[in-house]
Amino acid sequence: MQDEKTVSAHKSDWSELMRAALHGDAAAYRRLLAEMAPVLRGIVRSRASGMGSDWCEDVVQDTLMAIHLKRGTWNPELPLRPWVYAITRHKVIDAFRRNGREISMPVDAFADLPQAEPETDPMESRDAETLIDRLPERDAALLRCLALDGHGNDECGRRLGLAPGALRVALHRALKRLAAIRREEGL
Amino acid sequence: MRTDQLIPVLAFDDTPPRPIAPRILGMAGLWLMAAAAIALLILGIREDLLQAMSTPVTAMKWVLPLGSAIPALLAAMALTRPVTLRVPILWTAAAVGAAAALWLLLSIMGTPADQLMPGIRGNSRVVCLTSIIGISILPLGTALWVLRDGASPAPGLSGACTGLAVGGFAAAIYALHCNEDAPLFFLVWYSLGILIVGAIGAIAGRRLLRW
Repeated sequence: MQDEKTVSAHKSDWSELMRAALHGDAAAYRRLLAEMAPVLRGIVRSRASGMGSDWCEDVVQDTLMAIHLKRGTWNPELPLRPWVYAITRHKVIDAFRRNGREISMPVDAFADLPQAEPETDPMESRDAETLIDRLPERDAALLRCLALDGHGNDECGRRLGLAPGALRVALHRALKRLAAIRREEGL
Repeated sequence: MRTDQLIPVLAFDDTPPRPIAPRILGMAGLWLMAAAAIALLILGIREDLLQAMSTPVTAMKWVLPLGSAIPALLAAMALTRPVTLRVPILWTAAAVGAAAALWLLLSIMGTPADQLMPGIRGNSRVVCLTSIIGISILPLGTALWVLRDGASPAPGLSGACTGLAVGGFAAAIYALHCNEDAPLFFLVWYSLGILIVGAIGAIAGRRLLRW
């Protein structure tokens, strides 16, 4: 019962947070992604028995990137959770396919999403540096500055000589390219 | 890169998602009109157009392609959302296709054997196929490019729907020129042209619309 309550509380929260995010509320968006990550991890792990936790974390990150890049395909009048589940399902199936395996996942199991056990984020298995190195130099430098070195956009813009507008465009493009590279990795 | 390093980077990227439907209609529609203008400038418009459009049998040269193109377009739009499991509107397109197939069958059965092949061949099948496919290429490419922002649960099907839609519009445009009004002719070659564009869309979609 307790779990169900938590789930339904999340349900409305997530849609609200995403609506706020789509209206430009970066803090809400960050909170949403942070709240989603353990839930996604729970779904992926419950499906991917036999795969290592590094492998699962790859899929979690692929899913987060897809949620980010495809958030325009969510209909804000509908609850967010089924949409998140559909994206996750797609990414899990895709990841298994890359390993030459088939997996079936129910299409409407979002109601009983497993809650992830709290624990520190494992590392992903694909070497992030290697993936980022395959991006054009400036994209790579930007992602390295933001993600691996953990600087803010102002600092990274200064280091790379990018005006705020140019940085926005460059970051968006870099993330799209990174998603494409991640998708092709291991094919 | 740990997941908690990825999340702030995603949150930094505040480029808003671009809406898909208006861009498909706008951009692919623009290319379709450009291709139509070029094709009709080269081929010309049939002189008895209004009369042809008011003749029921001939009017089917517009009704059938548009009757499958519009539902196919709506299906392609619905399939940009990953939560879409079923696209019932596709049954409308399928029904139009089935009606055309049935009509073709009846036309074949109602035609004496020695007139069948000449009737199907007609005089302009090469121009017909070339035009329908030629008009379709740029709008189809544009539409698929816009659809890359979507998250299709079935990329091949999305591509096929897009191809059938563009092909149907292209056939309706070509019909403004084409004055071969025998059902035997247009049911075969219009349908074939539309199906070829649909197949191109399906093949391209499988590759381009993966995400």
